[in-house]
Amino acid sequence: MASTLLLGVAAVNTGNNLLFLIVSAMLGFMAVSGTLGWLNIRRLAASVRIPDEVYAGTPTLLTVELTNAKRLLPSFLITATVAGFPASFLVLDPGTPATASLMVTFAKRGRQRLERAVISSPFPVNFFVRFTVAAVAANVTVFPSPRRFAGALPGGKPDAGQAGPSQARGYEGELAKITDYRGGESLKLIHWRLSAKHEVFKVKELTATADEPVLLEPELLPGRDLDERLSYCCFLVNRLAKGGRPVGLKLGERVIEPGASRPHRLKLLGELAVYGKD
Amino acid sequence: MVRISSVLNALTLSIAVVGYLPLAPYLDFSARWFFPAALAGALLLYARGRSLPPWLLTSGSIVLFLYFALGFNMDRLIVVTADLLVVFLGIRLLGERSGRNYLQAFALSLFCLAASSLFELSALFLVYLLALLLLLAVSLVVLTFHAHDPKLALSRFELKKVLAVSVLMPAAALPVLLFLFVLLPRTQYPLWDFLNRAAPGTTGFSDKVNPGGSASVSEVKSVVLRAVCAKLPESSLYWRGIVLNGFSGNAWVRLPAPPEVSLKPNRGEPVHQEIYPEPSRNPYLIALNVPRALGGLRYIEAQDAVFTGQRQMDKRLKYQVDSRLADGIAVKGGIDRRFYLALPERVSPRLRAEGRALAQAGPEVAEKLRRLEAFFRARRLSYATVGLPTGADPIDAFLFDSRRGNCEFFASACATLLRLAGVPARLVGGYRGGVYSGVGGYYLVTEDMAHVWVEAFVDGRGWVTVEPSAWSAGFSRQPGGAVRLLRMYADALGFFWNKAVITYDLEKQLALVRSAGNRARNVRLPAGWWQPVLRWGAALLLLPLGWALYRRSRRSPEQRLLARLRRVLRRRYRLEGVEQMGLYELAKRVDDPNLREFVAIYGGALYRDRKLERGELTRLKELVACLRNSPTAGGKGHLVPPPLEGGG
Repeated sequence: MASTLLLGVAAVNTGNNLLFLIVSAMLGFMAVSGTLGWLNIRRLAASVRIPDEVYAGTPTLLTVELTNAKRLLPSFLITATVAGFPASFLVLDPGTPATASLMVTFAKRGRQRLERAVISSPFPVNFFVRFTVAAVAANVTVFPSPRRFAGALPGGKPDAGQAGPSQARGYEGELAKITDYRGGESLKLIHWRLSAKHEVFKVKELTATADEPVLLEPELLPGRDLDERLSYCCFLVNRLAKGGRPVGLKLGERVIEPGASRPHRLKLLGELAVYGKD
Repeated sequence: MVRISSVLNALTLSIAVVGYLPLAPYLDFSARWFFPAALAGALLLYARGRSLPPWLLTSGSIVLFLYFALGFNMDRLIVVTADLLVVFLGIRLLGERSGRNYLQAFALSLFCLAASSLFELSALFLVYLLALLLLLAVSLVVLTFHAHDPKLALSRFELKKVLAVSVLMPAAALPVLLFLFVLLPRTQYPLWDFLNRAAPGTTGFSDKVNPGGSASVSEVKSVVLRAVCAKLPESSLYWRGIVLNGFSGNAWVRLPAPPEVSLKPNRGEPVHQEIYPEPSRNPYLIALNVPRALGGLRYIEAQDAVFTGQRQMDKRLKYQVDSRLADGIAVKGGIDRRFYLALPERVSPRLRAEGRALAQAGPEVAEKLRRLEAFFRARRLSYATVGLPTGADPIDAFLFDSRRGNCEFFASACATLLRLAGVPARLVGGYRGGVYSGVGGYYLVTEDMAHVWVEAFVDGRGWVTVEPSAWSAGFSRQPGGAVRLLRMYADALGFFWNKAVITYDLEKQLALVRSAGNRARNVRLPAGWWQPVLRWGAALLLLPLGWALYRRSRRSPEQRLLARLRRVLRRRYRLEGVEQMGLYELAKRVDDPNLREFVAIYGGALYRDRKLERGELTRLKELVACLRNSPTAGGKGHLVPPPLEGGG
């Protein structure tokens, strides 16, 4: 830019038409590069693919897909910034979608909307960075940040394969131990052969094949505020459901029946994400 | 994969070479050789992936600057500046390869090319400029990738695409270049003049004719002028420059002539010429004999049809001349015969005797001229440019001994003999002939065509042209061969360059504006009964436009938005009957989340009978844009087949 001005002054001063030619060439080049830069970021459609489980405060990988809807011109050196995090694309061929991943950390739980992606590029000449905005229109439910809840939980981490056998008694599981009859046990459980050798009736104690359902009520969990309680609750939902134990929620007056499937777990987490926000 | 830094290095070296080459012939010895050395060093460093440390380069720059600055004075200002530019460019190539340094190398190369225009104005400049523009465009784009990630490597395919788009830029910039070149403001006079001290060589056009000064005349082919005019017969190509009317010793010179009233020629074929003289220090404005009037610059006209420019001719300029192909200049009243009968210091007895014999031919000048021609022809004089007589009395030697000479000998001998015979005579200096360029439509006149002929005063007719060289043997020009033709093409190219670029000026810009304005003003409807028809026709054509605007202003933003959505849907999904379908029906047919959201927002407002809010409207516009831009292939939306009606 400065050199163009300098040469422009020189051209006017000397009346040298060759200098005028150089200045015209540089001005023409600037005009064309400006136009090319404008075309470069034009007609780019953006979309975002978000994973099912997004937790507040935890870095999550999003996939940004950009499609160059121009007919002929490729786009170069595009940066698509979504929620303040950039993803970069080197070359976007016309008509062919390209994807890039970016790590995004959402600060707060709740339903959030990614309205737009800021598309920017220094192409063709690194003097200016041009910006435009592409609509993304993606909805994301950010679950509360899970917080480890020590105590009152059996076994190890289910994710790590450390889940121990359930401690609860049941009717159809494996034989856990033999105890004295205390009344109330089913007759089916009386170990007749052993009872004959002892003075008291002996009963078989079997493990439970399924854990008993748990109904979590976040308001009753410890924690300084609602968000902390929800964080504990989120942890519990994950830990329990992954351990195969049916989990339900009691949110105020509303009760969500226990279940152990993944969709159910995500439903619970979704409820926790928006709890207290409506 | 190709490393982007390697591409950038190769481009930078090429740019530096293109900047250096046009300037190289004008550089000092040390600068001229420093650059190739630096280039070789840079190549070596690039190959090893290293660069010289900044402290070394900075101190080297300072030392070299001082060295060149010592040779600085106002006359060598441009040369020293050019030297420094080239040296700094060389140093820059050796340094660290960062984005800033690359840019500096580019700028220095451009300045080098710009500086070359202060030395040389040839059309070759355009070639360098275009090459540099192309390389710069590509380099700046590659530099952008380099700035993104210096270690970036692109596949050959990707690189090809990047290069293709970068080459597109200078190609598209060319028309803009031409447009801006015409439009950029120009001043008629430089603001500071110190940069414009170019020193063109003298053309050798002499205001003194002294035959016998040397034994040979060099045939320099340098261009004197180009004259745009129609093709003329060879015999009428006499370009008048100067009239030599008296003597200084034995040499013919131009002396202040006594007043006389010469009339503008009004006989003979009129010829209009546009003349582009090469820069020279000679003030005479050369034109086809006999010039009547000049235009295009300020001049002084002498009574003997000699024109001199008022400003220096050391720049490229042009002027127009109206000439008549007449064989003389009429004079009103008489002339100072005594002045035109003066003789040189030395006239040999043989010459004097010949003059006396001629004087006895009678009072008729025509008869004397016939006798003179017969005398010349009888002597069997030959026209030559080498082996010319020299010595104490070259004219005598020419006529009576060696009998060979060039036009200066013929004209001097002829005019002297005429004066001895009592006929007032003078020499006319200029050029004879010219090579016509069919491509350019102009005559090319070169220095080797310099010529001198004679004008003799005839009572009642005025000054009559006499061509004594034609009385010789061997006075004709050889037609050129293929080389000459090629040369004419090259010359035509240079001529157009000078005409279109070098001499382009403010007046031309103003003339362009004026003529455009005049043309616009002079647009008149053809007269007749259909003038009103044309007017009404134009009005009728405007009506639909007005109606469309009116309808547009009548429709609410919501309606416009809905129309836009329907248009987009029709185009993207090739849906028929979009206009008749309801919004919800459309959403069902086209399974697209964007459309669903659109319908939800739009319907939500419409069915509650309220207008769309500003935010909603923006969002809807975004959605329509998304719909338009989203790809159909692999995209989100797809058509749901309509339910079968009637069942069965």
